[in-house]
Amino acid sequence: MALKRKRNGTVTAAAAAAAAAGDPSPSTSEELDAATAYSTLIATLKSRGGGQTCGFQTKERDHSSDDVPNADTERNGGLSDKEDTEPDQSDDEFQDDDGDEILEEQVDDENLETSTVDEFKVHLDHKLGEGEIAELDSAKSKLNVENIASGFLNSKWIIDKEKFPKAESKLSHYNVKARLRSQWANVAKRKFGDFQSEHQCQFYSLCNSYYDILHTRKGGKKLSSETMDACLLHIINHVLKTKDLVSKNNDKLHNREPTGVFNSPRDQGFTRPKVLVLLPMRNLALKLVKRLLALAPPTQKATVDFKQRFFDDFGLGEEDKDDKQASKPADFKFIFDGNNDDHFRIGIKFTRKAVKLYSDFLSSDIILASPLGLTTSIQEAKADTSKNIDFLSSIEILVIDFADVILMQNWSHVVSLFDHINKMPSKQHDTDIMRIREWYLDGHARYFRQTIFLSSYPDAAINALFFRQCVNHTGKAKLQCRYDGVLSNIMLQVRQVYEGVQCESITDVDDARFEFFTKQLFPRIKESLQGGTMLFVRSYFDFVRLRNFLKAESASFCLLGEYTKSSDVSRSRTWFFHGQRRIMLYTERAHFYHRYQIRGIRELIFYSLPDHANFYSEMVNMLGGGQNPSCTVIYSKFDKLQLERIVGTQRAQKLLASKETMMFF
Amino acid sequence: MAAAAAVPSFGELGVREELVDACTKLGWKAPTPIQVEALPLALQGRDLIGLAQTGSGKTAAFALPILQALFQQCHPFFACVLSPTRELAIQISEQFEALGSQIGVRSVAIVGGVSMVDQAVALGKNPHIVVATPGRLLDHLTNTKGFSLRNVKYLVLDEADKILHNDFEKEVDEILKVVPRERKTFLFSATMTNKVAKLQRACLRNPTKVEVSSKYTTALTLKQEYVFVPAKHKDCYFVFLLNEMAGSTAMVFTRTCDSTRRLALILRSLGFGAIPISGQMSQSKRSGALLKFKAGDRNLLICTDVASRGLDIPSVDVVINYDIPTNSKDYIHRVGRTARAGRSGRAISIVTQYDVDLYKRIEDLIGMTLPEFPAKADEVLLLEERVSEAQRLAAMHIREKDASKKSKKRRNGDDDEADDGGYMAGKRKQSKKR
Repeated sequence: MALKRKRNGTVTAAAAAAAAAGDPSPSTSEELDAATAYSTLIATLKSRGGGQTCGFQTKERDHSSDDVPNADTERNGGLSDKEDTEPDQSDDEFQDDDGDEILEEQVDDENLETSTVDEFKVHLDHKLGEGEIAELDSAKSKLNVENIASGFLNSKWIIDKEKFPKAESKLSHYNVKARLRSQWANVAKRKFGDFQSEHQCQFYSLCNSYYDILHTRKGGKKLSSETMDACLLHIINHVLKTKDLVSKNNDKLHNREPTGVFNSPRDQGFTRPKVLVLLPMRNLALKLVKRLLALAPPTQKATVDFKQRFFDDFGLGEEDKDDKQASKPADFKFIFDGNNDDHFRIGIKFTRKAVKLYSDFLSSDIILASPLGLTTSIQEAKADTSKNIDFLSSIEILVIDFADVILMQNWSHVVSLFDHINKMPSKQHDTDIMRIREWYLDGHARYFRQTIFLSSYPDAAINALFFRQCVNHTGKAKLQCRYDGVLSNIMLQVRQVYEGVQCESITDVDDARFEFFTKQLFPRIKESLQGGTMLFVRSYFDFVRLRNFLKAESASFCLLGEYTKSSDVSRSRTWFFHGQRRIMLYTERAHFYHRYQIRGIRELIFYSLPDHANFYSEMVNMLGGGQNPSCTVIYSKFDKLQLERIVGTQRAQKLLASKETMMFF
Repeated sequence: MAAAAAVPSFGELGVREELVDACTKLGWKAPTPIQVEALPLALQGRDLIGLAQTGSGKTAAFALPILQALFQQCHPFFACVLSPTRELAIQISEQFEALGSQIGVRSVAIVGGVSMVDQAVALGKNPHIVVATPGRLLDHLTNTKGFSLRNVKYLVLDEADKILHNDFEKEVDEILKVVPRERKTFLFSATMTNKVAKLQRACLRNPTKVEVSSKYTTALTLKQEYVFVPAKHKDCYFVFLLNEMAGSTAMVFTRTCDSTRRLALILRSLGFGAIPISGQMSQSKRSGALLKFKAGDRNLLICTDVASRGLDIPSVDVVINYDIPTNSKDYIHRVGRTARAGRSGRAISIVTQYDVDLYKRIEDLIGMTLPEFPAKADEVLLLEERVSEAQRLAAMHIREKDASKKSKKRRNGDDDEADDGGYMAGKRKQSKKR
């Protein structure tokens, strides 16, 4: 069951996305262009229709017939009587919340507010002008202020505002709730001031200043947990601040004279959920919630409701454990270890003394979901008028963690989410209309949403969303890295030939590449008697195109794609190994989800470069057997992002600048 | 209005300069008689009952004092205006914004038929003026958390006799309960109920009655006629009338929603630009129809009494009563859609043998006997063949639509003729038939 649901998603336009990124000179405005190019490409793909990309199908999971119970919907149903009473309580909770607590907290806060600026207030109380909106809508932000990013070699954070937020190493400078700060001190390792590292400190200072963040270098356990901790600290702080503000104002309203004209404080959104975290799989959600519970202030979590049920749902039962993973690489285990179901959504609510998991969405503070899980509720709302997705109307922080893994699932779910977030609700949800912040009423919620993308590599599809759909008035921050490449990880002496494909526009690149392959490479492959040719393809579109081509040429080949059945996979691998089939087609997604160790490769052709740089070295290291193994790579100038990660920034620049169309390493 | 020299200016009545400017911009040079009478009293802070002919500027008579008070003491939810129909509420709200544009007055129209959420959002933005129909206002008072009328300083009942009528009794009682007693109250209408009990419900305190015309009168510039027809040939005469009036912009009043639909279909297939408006249509369609009529895209508005009160459409020059109103006061409101603000207008009532009694009552109420519209029976009956063909087509169309509506009720099947495919479409259909 553990590995059951790996290849959930579909191949959408990931191919196009990946191809879009290349551009000769490294600067952010270029990346914007890449984003533009990306969307035009999508448009052309769409207009082209099925055509040669006949595998352009969406494979949705069949929810109704799924044997794994859909935890959220089903369990919520079971709990209905309990949940139904909750909306009534929620308001009371706001009322009597923090009655005593707030007093001590207030004293503490006031001391703080005199010392530093409260970014929470600055961000949310901002008055948005007409001109500012027009500027944000034009999506022409220029990221040009730089700051060295510590933790990575030759990397920098760049933002579109004049002044960089100061990265203080002490948490007391950040206006964090005192009860949260002390818990952080207890739980988190402190190496750099109050932080685990300078990288975390920098990242947190950006979070805390409510920047939109594009962090594209968080692969690995250490960086991943550092960014997650920083994010969680920010999220909890935001939730607690919102809550405290509301209950403080409740007290004020309660105690005021009932007569006279009075303006209610504006401190709420249409609905309660303020934070949305997108994660690809249950095991990662489990990690996040565990950490969230660890970091939450002790007074806040005297009890945790439905904790056991959560661990049951998101963890793995004994019988589900499988030891297949033992031979897989560490980064694979890090992502896939545990319950890798990709369909879930859960609400988390902070009450006065408890954390409630599985709370009703409308009364939750944080919503944790997979893109697929969220898409399901969006579609349910479309089909059934009694359901709605109003819980997305008032999201103030959106975190998309493991965006690289989501890219391997189905990115279009994320894209469609951006059409539904921060919209006007369809119903009133018992919120005091006079206390809703004015920018919500004006429909400006999206200018106040902070969006944080966390990924282990940059990608044109992420860039496109980040630069087009994120219009936070505070600004944007982006991590720009230089890479050393992965060539040093290659153990074998292999001559790697890089063949450049010339083309002018991103819409032509697929055709140019295909033509290059069929005209230049394929005749040679066909003639050579030696088998063992592995064709590695990044996108499913190209996979289908090549498959059809090979079929038409009646070549001897076998397939290893993301939709191939496991029995077919093992047969193909055997055939290939024994030389019964001369060519093997292999996709990046298939490798991502399975990390097959393929034997019998004599010639490796990268029809397109992988997004995951480590896949390149892994594949090359699989070469072996036979004399003079060879490796050929087809690239174009639109593959800049991938090239950079594989051969290193410097060499990639050289490669793209040179007139030669063939290079050796 | 004839004695223009004796009429004081807005400024002399005590209206602030900014508002006088706004009036000038809207093209109001001098106050109308009702404004002359009412403004000084209202500005003093008295409760008022205002009674004046249709189209004589009653809206401004209560809007100006409210806006002026808003200068002194500006706070949200300053005034609440109740109107019996949605279209009228929207019109009043627009008028408030136009008059108060210089001081940034925000006004919302709270009417039925449109999204509650959008209205709640509009209420959340702290408007100064709320113009509402009673039902929807009560809906918001009970369901929209945080919305209240406890700060209201002015309450206006426009078309007061209708608002205080039994139809709205429950709603108005509830609303009056939540509006503070410390307030000014204005009642305005062209016709007024005499029943003291009803007036008492409005909780006026020491009100002054301002009457420009003591008897129920219609505008002096209005030419009123009737045409006596056999019920059998009613449609035929109606089409004949329209033919006589060709080129003018007319409002046609019927008794039922269904007949607006039927008449619009008949007229369209005969090549007239007709559009129906009735309580059965969705609010967006109602607004759309009214907009088209106002813009001149269609020159015939076929309506029920939903459009009989308050609507100010300057281009209307003819009012036709296809059905005689059962309530004679409604007659005054209906014909008041034309001959507004000193312009001339014409009203024709179609009287059948069954309507004589009702018609007599109207003549009694307005205190006039009206001349008969000359219509020669033989000329009229020339039209009969075409009219009956159109009737047949319309009946068929309605039957088909209703049947298909029933079958696909789930889908929003109201893509009916009310949406108007233009009258040309109807014509084409007819020619295909032949």
